[in-house]
Amino acid sequence: MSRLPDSTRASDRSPLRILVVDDEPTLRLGFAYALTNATTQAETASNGAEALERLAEKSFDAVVLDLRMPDVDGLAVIEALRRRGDFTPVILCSAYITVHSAVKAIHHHVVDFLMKPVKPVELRSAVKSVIHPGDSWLEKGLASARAGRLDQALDFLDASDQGTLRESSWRRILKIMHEHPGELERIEFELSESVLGQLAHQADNVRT
Amino acid sequence: MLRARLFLGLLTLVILLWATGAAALVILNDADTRFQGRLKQDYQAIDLAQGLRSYTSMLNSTYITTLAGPAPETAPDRQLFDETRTKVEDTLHALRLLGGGNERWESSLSSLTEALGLYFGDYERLLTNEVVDRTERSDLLRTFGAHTQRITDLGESLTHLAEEQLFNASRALAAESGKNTAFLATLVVLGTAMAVMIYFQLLRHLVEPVVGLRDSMEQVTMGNFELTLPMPTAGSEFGSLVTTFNSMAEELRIRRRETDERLFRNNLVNRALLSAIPSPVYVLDLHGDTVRLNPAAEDLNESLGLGTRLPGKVLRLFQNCQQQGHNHLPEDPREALLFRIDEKEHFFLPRIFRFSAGRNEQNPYAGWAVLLHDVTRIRWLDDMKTNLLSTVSHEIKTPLTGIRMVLHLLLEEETGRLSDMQRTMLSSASEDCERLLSTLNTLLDISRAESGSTHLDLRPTNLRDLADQSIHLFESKASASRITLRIDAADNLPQVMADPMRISEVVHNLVSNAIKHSPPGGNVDVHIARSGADFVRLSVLDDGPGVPEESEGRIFERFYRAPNQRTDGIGLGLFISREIMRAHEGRIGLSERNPDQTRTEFFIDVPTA
Repeated sequence: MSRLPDSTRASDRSPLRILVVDDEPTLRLGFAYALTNATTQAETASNGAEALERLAEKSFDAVVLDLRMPDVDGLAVIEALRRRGDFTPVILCSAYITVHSAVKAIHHHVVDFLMKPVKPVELRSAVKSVIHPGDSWLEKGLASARAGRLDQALDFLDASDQGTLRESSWRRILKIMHEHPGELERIEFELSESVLGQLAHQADNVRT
Repeated sequence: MLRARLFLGLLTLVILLWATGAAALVILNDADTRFQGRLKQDYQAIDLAQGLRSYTSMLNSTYITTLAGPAPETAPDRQLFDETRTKVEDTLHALRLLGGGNERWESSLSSLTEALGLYFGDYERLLTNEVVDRTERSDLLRTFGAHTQRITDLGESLTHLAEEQLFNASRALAAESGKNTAFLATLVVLGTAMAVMIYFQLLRHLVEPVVGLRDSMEQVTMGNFELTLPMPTAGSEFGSLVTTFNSMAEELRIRRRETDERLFRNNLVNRALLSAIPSPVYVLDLHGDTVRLNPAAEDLNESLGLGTRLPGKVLRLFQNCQQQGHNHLPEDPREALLFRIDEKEHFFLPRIFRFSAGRNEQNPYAGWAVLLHDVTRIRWLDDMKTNLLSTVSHEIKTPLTGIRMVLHLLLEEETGRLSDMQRTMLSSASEDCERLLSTLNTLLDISRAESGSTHLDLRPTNLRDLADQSIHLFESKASASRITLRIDAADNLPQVMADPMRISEVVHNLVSNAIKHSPPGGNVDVHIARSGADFVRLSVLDDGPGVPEESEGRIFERFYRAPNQRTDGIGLGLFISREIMRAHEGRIGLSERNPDQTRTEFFIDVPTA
C-alpha cells in the first residue's frame, strides 16, 4: 500500500472507492494508478483471500477482480461475496474467459468483463459505466442484469434497434439464462465459446 | 512312310477298280457276242426252213397243174426243177451245218431229207413222163400233196426247234450273267473293304497324331509346359512336327522358369519393401478384396481382431473412394482416424490410392493400396506444441499486460510531464508491447483453432446482417484510407446455418484484408448471392493488386504471407478463416482472376439453413 499515490488530492466529495485485485504486481500497480484521480480512489489486494478480508472491512463502490489467481480465484471471491450478501459490483478482468466462468459470473450478477490487456481508458470507461450507467439500451440492460433483474434487462435489450454484435450476444446469453434459471450446466451446454468474445467492454474482435 | 502306305492302299484300290471295270466289260462283250451269234444262227435256220416251203410251193404251182389234165406229149421243162432241187439241197446242207450236234435237230433234218427225197422222186417220175395213166396221175397228185404237207410240217418243226434253241440260249445267258454279277459284286466288296482299311489307316496315321497334337497344344495353352510328346516311329511325317513341338515346349519351360525366378525375386523384394514400411499397408483388388497385407497391417488386424479385412472406419473411406473413383491422400494429421489398441489411442492417417499398369480403366492389374500412416506421435507432438504455445503465451501475456498498463499510464503524463526523449522511448516500447500482444493473441487463436475447442453455435442466421455489421465496424478505418465500402445482396436470400460470431470473424477478416490491400480511393464491395442449391456465397472484392500467382495455393496456410507485403500481420487471418469455414462444412476461396477482370475476389460459401 505504501506505493499507492497520495490520495489527499481528492476533492471534498468523498471519492469512489475501487478495490483492485490482481496477483500480477505491475498490473495491480498500473490499475491502481489508473483509477486514482479526483473522483476515484483505488486500493489493492494481491489475492482472493486478501480481497475478501478487505471487502469485509469496508464497503467499496466497485471491485476490479482478476479471474485467474492462485488459491482463491476470481470466481471463488464472487461466490463468497454473494454468499455473505455483498452485492458490490464486480468487473471481472481476465486474458481469457470460458463459458463456464462467464455463466457462473453472470449468475452472480457480474456482467462486466474486461479482456486483458486493458488500456487505462478502457478501464476507466468500464468503471464509469458500472457506477454511472449510460443512457444506451445496452447500458440500461446491463445495469438491470447487474441488479439481478434479467427480465428487465431483456426488455431493455429488445427495445434496442441498433443490433450490434455485442447487443445480440448479450440478448442471447441473458435469454438463455432467463429461460433456465439456475440450470448452469444446461446453459453452458447451449452456449458456445464464440459468444463470449462480444461480451466484454470495448471488445476488439478485428483480427488482421 | 505314311505316303507309301497311302500310295499302296490307293494303288490297290485303283487296280481293283480297273479290274472290276475290265471284267464287267469283257463279260458284257462276251455275252453279247454269243447271243448275237446264236440269234443269227437261229434266225438263219428259221429263214431256211421257211424258204423250203416257198420252194415246194413254187415247184407245185409250176408242175402239179399238169397232173390235173391228161399227160402231155412231151415231158415238161425240167430246168426249173433242177435249179430248185440244187437250191433245196444247198438249204439242207446249210441246215445241217446249223444243227450244231443237236439230236432232235438232226433227226428232224434227216426226216426232212427223207421227205424231200420222196418228193423229188415223185417229180422225177412226173418229168420223165412215166405216168400217163389217169389213175396213176391222180395218185401221184395225192402223193405230191401228202409229201408237200410233210415237208411243210417238218419245216415248221425245224422252225420251232430253232426258236426253242434261241430261248434256251437266252436262258443260259441269263444264268451266266448271274454268275458274272456275283463275281463283280465280290470285286466291289473287295474294293470297299480296301477303302475301309485305307480309312482306318488314315485315321490311325494322320488324324490321330493331329488330334493328339491339338490336345497337347491345348494343354500347353493351359500352362502345362511339362508335356513332352512321344516320338512317332521313324520315318513318320509327324516326326519333325513333334520335334518342333517338343522344343517349343522346352523353350516355354525355360522361359517360365526364368519368369518364375524373376517373379520370385520381385516378390521377395516387394515383401522386403512392405516389411520395411512400419505403417500398415493393404493391397486390394478393384472389388475391394484384400490381395496382400504387410506385417504391420497383419499386426494391426490381429490386435483389432480382424482377418485380412480393412478396419471398419477405413473401409467406409475406401468405399467412398471406390464409388467416386478418386484417391484419398490427406496431409493434415487432424484427419487421422482413432484406433484403440491395447487400451492405447493410436491415430492413423489413411492414404488410399488407385494403381494400374496402364491407362486402361479395365486393366486386370489395377487395384487399390491403402496405407495407414501412424501419426500418433505427430498428433502428440502437435498437441504438445499447441498446449505449450497456449501456456507460454499466457505466461508471457500476463506480465505483459501489466507492463502495457504502466506504459500507457506514463504516456498519459498524469503522474508528471515527460521529456521528448522519454516520450519517444516510451512510445516505442508501447508499440513493441502492442505488437507482442497481438502476436500472442494470434498464437492463442491458433492453439484454440487447432485444439478443436472451436465448438460451433450453429443456428439460422442472416448473412446480410453479419455483412452489415462488418461494414459498420470498418467504416472509420476505410474512410481513413478514402476507401468506399459498398454492399449488394440478392433478394429473398435464405438463411444460413452458421455460428454468427465465427462467420463474422471470417467476414471481418476478408473485409479488413480488402481494405488493407486496396489503393487509396478504391472501392471494396461485398456481394451476397446464392451459390448452388446448398450454399449462400458472400464475396469481397477489392481493387488491390491481387494475390501473386505463385502464392495462390498457399495463402490459406498458417503463417503464410505473400512476399513483398507492406502491410502488417503474421499471416494467420486466412488460416483461421479456413478453419472456421471447414468447421462449418462450408468453403473459402479466391476466385480465379479473368484476364479482363481487374478486381480481387475472395468468397465464402455458407451452408443454407
